[in-house]
Amino acid sequence: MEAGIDSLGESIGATAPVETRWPQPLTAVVRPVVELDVNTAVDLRRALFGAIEAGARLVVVDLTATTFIDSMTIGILLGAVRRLQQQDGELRLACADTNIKRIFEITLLDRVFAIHPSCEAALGSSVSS
Amino acid sequence: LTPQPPAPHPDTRPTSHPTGIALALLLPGAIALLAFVTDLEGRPGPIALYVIAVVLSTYGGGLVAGVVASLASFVSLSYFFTSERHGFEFPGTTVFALVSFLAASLLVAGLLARDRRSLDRYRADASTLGLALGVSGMGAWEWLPESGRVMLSPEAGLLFARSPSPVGETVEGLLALVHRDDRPAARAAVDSVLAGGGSVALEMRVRVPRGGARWIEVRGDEMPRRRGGRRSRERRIVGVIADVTDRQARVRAREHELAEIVAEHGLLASVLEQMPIGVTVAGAPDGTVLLDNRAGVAPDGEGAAAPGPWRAGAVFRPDGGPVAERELPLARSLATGEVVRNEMLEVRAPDGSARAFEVSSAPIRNGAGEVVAGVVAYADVTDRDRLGRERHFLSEVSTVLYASLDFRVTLARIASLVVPGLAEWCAIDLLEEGEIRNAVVHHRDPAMVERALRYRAEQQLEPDASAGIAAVLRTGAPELYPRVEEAIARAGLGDDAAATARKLRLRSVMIVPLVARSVTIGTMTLATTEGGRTYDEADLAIAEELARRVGLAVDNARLVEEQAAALTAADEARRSIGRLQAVTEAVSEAATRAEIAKVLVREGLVALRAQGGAVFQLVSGGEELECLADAGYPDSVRESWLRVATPGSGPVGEALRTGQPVVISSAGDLAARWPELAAIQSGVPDETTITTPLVVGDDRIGVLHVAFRTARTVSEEELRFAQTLARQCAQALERARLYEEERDAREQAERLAARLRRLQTVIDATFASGTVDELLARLLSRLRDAVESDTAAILILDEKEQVLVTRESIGYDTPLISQVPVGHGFAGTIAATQQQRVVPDTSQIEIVGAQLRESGVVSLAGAPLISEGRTIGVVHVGMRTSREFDREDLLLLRLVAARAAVAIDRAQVHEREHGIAEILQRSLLPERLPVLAGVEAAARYVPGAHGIAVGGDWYDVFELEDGAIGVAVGDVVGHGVRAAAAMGRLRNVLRAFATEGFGPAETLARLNRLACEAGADVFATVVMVVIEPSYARLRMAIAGHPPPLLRRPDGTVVLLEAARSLPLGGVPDAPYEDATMELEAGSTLVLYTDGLVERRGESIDVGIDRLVRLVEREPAPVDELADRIVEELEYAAHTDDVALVAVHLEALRTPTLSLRFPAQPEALAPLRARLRAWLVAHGADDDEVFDILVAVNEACSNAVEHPVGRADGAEVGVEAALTDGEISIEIRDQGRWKPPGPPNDRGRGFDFMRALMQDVEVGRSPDGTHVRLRRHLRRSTA
Repeated sequence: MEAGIDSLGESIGATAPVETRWPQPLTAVVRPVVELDVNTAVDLRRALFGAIEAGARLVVVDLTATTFIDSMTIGILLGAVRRLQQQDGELRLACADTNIKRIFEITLLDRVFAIHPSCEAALGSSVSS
Repeated sequence: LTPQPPAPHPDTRPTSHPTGIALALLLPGAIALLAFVTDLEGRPGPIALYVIAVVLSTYGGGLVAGVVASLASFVSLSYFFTSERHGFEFPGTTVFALVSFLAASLLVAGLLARDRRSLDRYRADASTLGLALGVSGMGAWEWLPESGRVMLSPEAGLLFARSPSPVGETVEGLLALVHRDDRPAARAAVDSVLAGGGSVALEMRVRVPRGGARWIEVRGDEMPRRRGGRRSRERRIVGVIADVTDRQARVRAREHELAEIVAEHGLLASVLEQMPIGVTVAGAPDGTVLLDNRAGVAPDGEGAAAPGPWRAGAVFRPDGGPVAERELPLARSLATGEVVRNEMLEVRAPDGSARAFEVSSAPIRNGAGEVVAGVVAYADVTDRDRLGRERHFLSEVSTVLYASLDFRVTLARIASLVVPGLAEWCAIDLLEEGEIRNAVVHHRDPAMVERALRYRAEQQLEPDASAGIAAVLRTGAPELYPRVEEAIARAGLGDDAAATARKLRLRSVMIVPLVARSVTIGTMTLATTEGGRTYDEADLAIAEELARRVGLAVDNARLVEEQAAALTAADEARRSIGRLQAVTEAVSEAATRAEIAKVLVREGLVALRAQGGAVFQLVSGGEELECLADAGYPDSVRESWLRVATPGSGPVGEALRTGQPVVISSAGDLAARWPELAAIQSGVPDETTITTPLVVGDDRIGVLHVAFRTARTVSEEELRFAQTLARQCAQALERARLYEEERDAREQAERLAARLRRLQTVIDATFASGTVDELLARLLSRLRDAVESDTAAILILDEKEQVLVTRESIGYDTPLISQVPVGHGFAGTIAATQQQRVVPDTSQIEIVGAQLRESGVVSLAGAPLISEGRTIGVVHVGMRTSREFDREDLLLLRLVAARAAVAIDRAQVHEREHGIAEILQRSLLPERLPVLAGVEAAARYVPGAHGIAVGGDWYDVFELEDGAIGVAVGDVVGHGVRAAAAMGRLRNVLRAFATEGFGPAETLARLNRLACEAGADVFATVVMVVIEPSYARLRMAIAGHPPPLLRRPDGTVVLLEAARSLPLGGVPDAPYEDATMELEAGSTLVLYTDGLVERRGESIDVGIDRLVRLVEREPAPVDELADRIVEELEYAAHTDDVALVAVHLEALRTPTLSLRFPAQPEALAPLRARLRAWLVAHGADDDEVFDILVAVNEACSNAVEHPVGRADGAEVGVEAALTDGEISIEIRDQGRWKPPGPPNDRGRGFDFMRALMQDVEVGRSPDGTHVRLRRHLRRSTA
């Protein structure tokens, strides 16, 4: 029997907080946890909008350590893009995972998000429209 | 105020008093009027006199004097008028009138004189008083209530802004001057006096001209009426009046100030009242409460005087330690000026309920920096704290719940987690097989747990009880007893429960149901003891939440356990077979009967979990029982058992008599059935026993006795196992007996040989090889020569018929064919007595066979052939002439008899050994093949058709832990018992390695190393195949064995020739390799030994070809296929034995995964981890795993987030299956999703699913919503 009825043995609960750092004034790098889903959505939303509220005009979402995202995460990213655009700000993604990039491609959101292979690349590229 | 001065008469100071001035003006007028009246009447009028008298009297002497004077005047005047009017002239009338007048005048004069004196005095007083009053700014007043007059002194008049009036003021007039606001009070004072009240004291405002008002204070008292006095009949209220405007102004100022303070204070207080935190301001150093607010009232509502965190003895630290008074934050702030910030304290009410407070305090310092007061603020954070703790607690619980799959371990951990945070006692009871069973009782003190368990054991749980665990189990409704004592008092608890509660001094108890899948599966009872807290609804809510999670976990764990139990049962069965094999193997290698018996007793006890056991063997022709081995009995019993007369009754007697096992359920049962055994059995500690006869062929050779020290029931399996054990035991004992006989005989023969050599006999020459018959013939010939007899013969005992049958004879005219019954005739007597016998003259004895006498034999000497104490035959020599046989002759005779006995025995041993080996071999082969889902298997073993030799062919089919199937067929080179034993060992070890998880090649490599070890002496060929759990592929390795056959569903047959290597036991480091082969549903695998394909004078390839064709022709079912193959074999003259296994895969197995998780976002990550592992294990590649995880995650997110109308505690189920390379995953939840609204995150979720999966199907039903996702995997392997 491969599995039968099974329960989820792993500990359910604690999610790591989303890290936010400010390499330059008005520039925030938000580095979320490894797997982004409904459970981590609140933390991510808080971190992103918190950074925007705090005055960030360039927000880099560092997904280089991220291996999983869901639609809610994408919704939050879109919300952040809209908010930033209202304030002439910009959101960039740092993402190397081909699977995650594929998700952006499938949803045609690779046209909305500027996706860079690394956090440094995202920070270094000149501000574009 | 100032002492009240004597009331001045207004008239006494005419110079200044307006009344006096008025009177002075009035008097001359009155007199003039009187004169006029007198003139008018013509007579100087008595009326005028009267009036003058009255006025003067009144003026001068007061009322009394006036009255007296007027009375006198009146009387005299009346007399005067009367006499005149009646014409009667009284001469003294005029005189009298004059006298009267004079008298009156004198009186008036006297009175006036007196008044003048008092007036002078009064004037003096009044001037003093007036001075005093003037100085003090006061005036005096007098009020005659009856007349309504108020006389005011000039000072008083000024205060009322009135000029003095000789007739005084009226009360009403004065009241009109009073300020509107004060008028009611003034009137009330007036009314009070009018009603009889004596004194007046009030302050009021009076209007003053040109606007404004002044404050006056009016005080007065009623003049006491002088006793016996003739004046002052009228009530007089006299008093003073003062201007207090300045004082009032000061008072008002102060009052205003006060009011401001009050207002300020009130504001602060009302602000504080509105604050949700408690604030207390207390003065230093003693902490007198200056100010506090309602929120500071102790949680038990005992009043503001004892605000919660301020009362020592009821305050505890979060860790439960009490806080002394001086350690309270406010006390510290007051004492040391410390500022305390957000300290957590717990306050317990007398009823045990606790509330948590966050307390801050700070000192208040005056300008000099001294602490004059302190302020403490305390927020009731019970709920917040509780919420936090609850969340923490529940997360801890979740961690524990999913940490172990053994739910008993889990429950124990939960209980220890609950204590002491939530309860001092925690008990979990589960409904198992319709009984309420306690699973856990936890308390910090293990001794208390023991006590509780003891009470619990004494207590009978009434299933129909209206309250308590049973009731909760029945109804599923939780119970809360904040005060157990009260519940007992209300008779809400059963007597037993009440007793237990009292014994454990329980204070507060909650019983909550553990529910899983809508069924109450148990209860959790939480309790505190006296002095502990009192549960409330909030605690009950936590307990219920906890119970809900525990219920779910228990249910999960039970499902897992049931599954595990099913696996264990299968495992148990497998082990049982394994144990039997181990027994067989151990027994087959044991040399002596005692060793065999010992092994059996030991293994039997272990396998049956028995405490006592023994093996008895019948000896002395069945007369006695010898104890070969025993275990678990005291020495006294063992000694008495060493050798006992065979009992006719009792379990042993019965087993021996009937040949059937006898089960005794208890010592009582034994005593009831065989009362006579009671004495013998005393000291034997057995209760339940199984006594199984040891049977060989039709003989019962002993018993196997297994005993339990507690009465119990014996299951069918156990009985069967005991019988199997007994069968093994009997066979082994029989074999050992034969071996022992052979050994004894051999030893004897060796001794004989030595003696014969010493005797220079030539018998040795006869020990050439040959058949038994040839040997016996040679032996007899030599014997006849040696003893120089005429004849010689050997007779063999037919044990069944109890007759001696002549086997070989020489010297007779015709070979003897006589049959001699034991006990009759010459040979019969020898056989019966086992004694040598010499008969010089045969005519003197009974001779059974006529042949003997007819041959002319007259002298006979004979000896018994004895083997293992039993007569197996007789040898005798005869002389046709009378002759005495000497010692040498008899010795020779005995030697030959012994030799012959050995030879005969050997032959019999051979025959028997063949039988034993075959039995052994069969017992070493699986009794039955495992039943496997989707797999049909058949196996055959056919012994060799010729000869007594038994081969070492074997086969095995077994299921591995992960669901894989192991199939092995082998051939141990060699024959007989040794080969059979080696085969058994090989088979067991192979299975052990496979179970350990070694693949075929590794298993064979290890077997080879074992086989190559010194002393192993094994040379064998093996083919081993492992069919993977999905059945989609096999792995195999071959050690010098013919290749297996695979028949594909289309009927083509292939030889699996890859991975062939050397046989086992040849080269120590021979390489073995795995080969793999894909399988399809409908494939058939055939493994066999070379006996099936080898024929004399024929290449083995021809045989294999023949088998291939046969398998091509004959498809499944495998049972028929196997029969057909064996039939085919029967036609051919096969010599070697054959083992054959055929396995048919009906369908490939569908890998499935089934998960359930609580509908909570936190469950998603673990779910993905599990699903990922499963997908990877089943061949999904990286991209596929990611896509499927994203899609499933979206569906699960919907289930977790969106269902509406979902009960708390809902679960989501995920079922995944891999069928023909297609992954199908179904996600089910118990709610209805919100109807899809405008494009949002969720809508995107569906887009994800559709983009990433090949098929998305959403279904809704009243039970919930399900989503089925499908996708083909690019490559699918097991």
